Amino acid sequence: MTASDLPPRWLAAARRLIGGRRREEAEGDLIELWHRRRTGGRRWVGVRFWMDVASLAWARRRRRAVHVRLPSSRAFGIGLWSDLRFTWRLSARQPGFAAVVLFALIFGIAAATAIYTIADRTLLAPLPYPDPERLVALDPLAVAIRREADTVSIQPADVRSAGLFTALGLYEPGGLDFDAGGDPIRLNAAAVDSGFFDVLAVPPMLGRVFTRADDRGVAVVVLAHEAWRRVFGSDPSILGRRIVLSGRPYAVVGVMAPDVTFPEQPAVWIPVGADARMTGGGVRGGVIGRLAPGVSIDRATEVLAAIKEAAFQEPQAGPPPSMSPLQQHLTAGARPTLLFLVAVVSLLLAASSASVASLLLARLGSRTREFRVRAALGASRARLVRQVLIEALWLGVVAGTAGFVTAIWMSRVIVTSVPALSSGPPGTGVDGRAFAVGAALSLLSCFLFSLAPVAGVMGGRVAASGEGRTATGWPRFAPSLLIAQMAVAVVLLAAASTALAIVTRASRLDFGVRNGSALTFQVTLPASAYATGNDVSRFAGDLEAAYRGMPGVRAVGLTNLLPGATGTRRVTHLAIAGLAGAASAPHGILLAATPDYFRAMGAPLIAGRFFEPGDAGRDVVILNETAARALDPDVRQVVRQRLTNPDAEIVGVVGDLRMGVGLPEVMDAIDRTHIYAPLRAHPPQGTIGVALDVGGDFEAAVDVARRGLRAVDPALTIFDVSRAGDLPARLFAAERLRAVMAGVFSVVVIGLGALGLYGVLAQLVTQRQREMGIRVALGASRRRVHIDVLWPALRLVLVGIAAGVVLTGVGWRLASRAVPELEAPSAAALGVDAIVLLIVACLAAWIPARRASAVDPATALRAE
Amino acid sequence: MRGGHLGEFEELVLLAVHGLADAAYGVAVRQLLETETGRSVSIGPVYTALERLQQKRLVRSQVVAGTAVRGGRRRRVFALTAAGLEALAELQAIRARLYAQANLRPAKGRT
Repeated sequence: MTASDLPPRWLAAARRLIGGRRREEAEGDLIELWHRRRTGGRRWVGVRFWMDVASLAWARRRRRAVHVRLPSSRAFGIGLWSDLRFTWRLSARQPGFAAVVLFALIFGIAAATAIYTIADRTLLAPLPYPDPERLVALDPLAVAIRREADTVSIQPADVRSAGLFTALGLYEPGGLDFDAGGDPIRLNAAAVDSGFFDVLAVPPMLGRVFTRADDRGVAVVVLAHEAWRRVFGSDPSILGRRIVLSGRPYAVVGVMAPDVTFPEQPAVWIPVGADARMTGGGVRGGVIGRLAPGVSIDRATEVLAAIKEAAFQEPQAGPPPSMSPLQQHLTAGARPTLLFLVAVVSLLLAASSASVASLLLARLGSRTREFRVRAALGASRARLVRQVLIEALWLGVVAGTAGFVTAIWMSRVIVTSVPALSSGPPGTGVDGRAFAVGAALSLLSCFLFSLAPVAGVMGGRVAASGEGRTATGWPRFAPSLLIAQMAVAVVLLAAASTALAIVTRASRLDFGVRNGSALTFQVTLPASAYATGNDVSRFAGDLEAAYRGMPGVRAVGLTNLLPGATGTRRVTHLAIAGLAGAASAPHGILLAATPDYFRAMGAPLIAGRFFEPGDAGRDVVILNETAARALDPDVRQVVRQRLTNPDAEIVGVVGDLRMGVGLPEVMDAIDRTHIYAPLRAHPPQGTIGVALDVGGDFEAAVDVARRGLRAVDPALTIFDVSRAGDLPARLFAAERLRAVMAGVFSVVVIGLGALGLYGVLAQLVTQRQREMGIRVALGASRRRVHIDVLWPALRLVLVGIAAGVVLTGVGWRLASRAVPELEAPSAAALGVDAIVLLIVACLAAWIPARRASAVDPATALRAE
Repeated sequence: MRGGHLGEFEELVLLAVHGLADAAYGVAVRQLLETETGRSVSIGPVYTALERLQQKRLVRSQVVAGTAVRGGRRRRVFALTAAGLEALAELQAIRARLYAQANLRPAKGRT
């Protein structure tokens, strides 16, 4: 009899599948079974053959799994699928548990990734220029900038030749109106000298940068990469084209490399002096330098001081020269907020990891039992560890993916709400390393604490309860996790309430704007078309007339400097003619306004009158309340008095319109003392601020503003458009972000802490159900049982709160060393935080406690 | 009883090995069980049971030359040990006693 018609290839495949020692025996069986079926006339012989193969393979696999001694690498793949299925069933059975753990992981990962990314990019990532550590920002007051006719130069001239720097550059940020054919577009711009690009040392992508010859205000322009892409559609033949910026034609000579966004992400760079009005009349430029190799900042500062002293031959009147690394200079404004956010998000990450850990431990009882059963049934330790690993991995994949996506969204929200936090263009994904840190920390804790139940069956022995465990079956360190969470919650709450206190105080600040819906915006008048004060004055009159003629406009007013805007402040003495002690009179800033400006902004008239159309020819001024009070506590008395400088009669007193951004205690008194002169008589230099009281929504109001301006001069654009009432929000965006972030984080941490507490107590109650039942049966009052459950929990919470208060104090001490202006958390706020936490904890503990005292003795005794 | 508890299938396999005398190898045991019990028996579980019985020292095995129908492949022939015989006898006695006491008429009411 032959071996029949069984295909040899099938047999070979079967041999490989079955493997093992007794391959020959299995082969023989397969051949024999095949043959018997064939001769017996059975159908589906092929199918049955493979079923036999599977059955033999399965049997051998099972034999191996039963007596695993040590897990070999090949054995590791065994049962993977069933482990996965088990994991899935486990989370499907307890969807609430899985959801909370996932939420804690996702939130922690996402927030940490988003904030670490922003902090890393802004504070740590090197500037995108060669040898960035050699770049410094110099104090422009220390290095005198001299303007002569069209040229601007750094003085004293020795600075250049001292060998400290390989290059020095000037820059002045501002804006220009780009005439794109239709409506002009407002572009961020910077006026820079030829040294500027030498300092950055990045070659242009197309064409050239400025040369010495351009420093005399030649009409040439270098485009930023982003503007070239967005405004000019990446036109490769852009070089040599003429573009009109604020009324002056410029020749495009270059396009910069994509990474160069200094200063303040300009769309174009023009030579210093090419447009006297692009900075809005104010000079707020700076000087950057590239230190020569081997020259330290300290040495450069020293030499610079010596040069300056020698050049000016006098003791220094101004501040001594100072310089700082360019990176630090750029991020100075964002640093406190970012450090704060990094601190709170680190706390959040710690707390969310701790809460994941304590949630996992809350399940310890049931898990330990499950693992003991499995170990008793022959599951190897490796198998149990692998089960835990798979569970952690499952959580990791889901939480990691969701966390990553959420992080991208979150960083975008943060950067758009406070653009100052990001040095570059906003939101381009998140940083892989930041994500790795956040994800690794939370998942590691997840994995480690999932292992706890395995520890219970370590060494193959079925561990007796006792050593290293409390009577309830969870490790002694489990309560400290809860304490840690509570402590972190207190610290976060303290941070949140401190941040909130700042915001609250800021929101209580009276900006004086009673008409919050007024639209405010600015217009820059190019020197080419509006060379003289008369031109500006005429334009102001035309503009006011144009707006007045439009439907819906209730009032329109013009000023040289809107609240919150940057620009030069002209400071003057506030002295009344014929009064003694004029020399000691307070200072104030001199502003200009048209008759309806105060009405449009809603600044109340306190005494006297507003300006009138006829005032343009007269020498009259209006004081704000602070200025009037400085002269006479009874503000009505100052009306009709005469000031000496400017020599003008005070005709009215108006409510304060706050200009600056500082909080009252740090705000300069001069900045709050305002003297208004009629704008037509004191036309501003270049930039005019407009307040337009017009009905309708924002878009409609902006449309009115555009149309009115177009009627007067179609080459101009409006910019810095906002509602007057939005000023506080704009000024305190960073502070608000801090309060919101800290607030949200602390709510999350408290919520997770409460859930953790609930989970642990619920577990405890379940485990002690029998005991409770017996006690109730023996006559213990329900109240007594209640207290028995509540008290240990509250003790944990109280210890946590105490630890949190101490931590807050220590943390504040440490932090205030890094950020000296940091506010101390108030005791009252801490007290409120503690009470809030205590209430939440009580609620979380209450539910299991109720369940414990409601135990029916009969049920409890019958259980198990 | 030595070797601890015997499952139902293990018991059947043990009986089959005994019944097949010298010709008790995997396929033969399977064949016998299929014809006697009337249910479909896979080859894998048969070997699993045989391995377990051998572990409990109720059967022993010996590798012998294969026949032509197996393509000449060798096979393992199983035989009962003394302990195996003893276990069967003991099981049979237990069964007999229990059957003697059991009332095989359908039970009344709920079980």
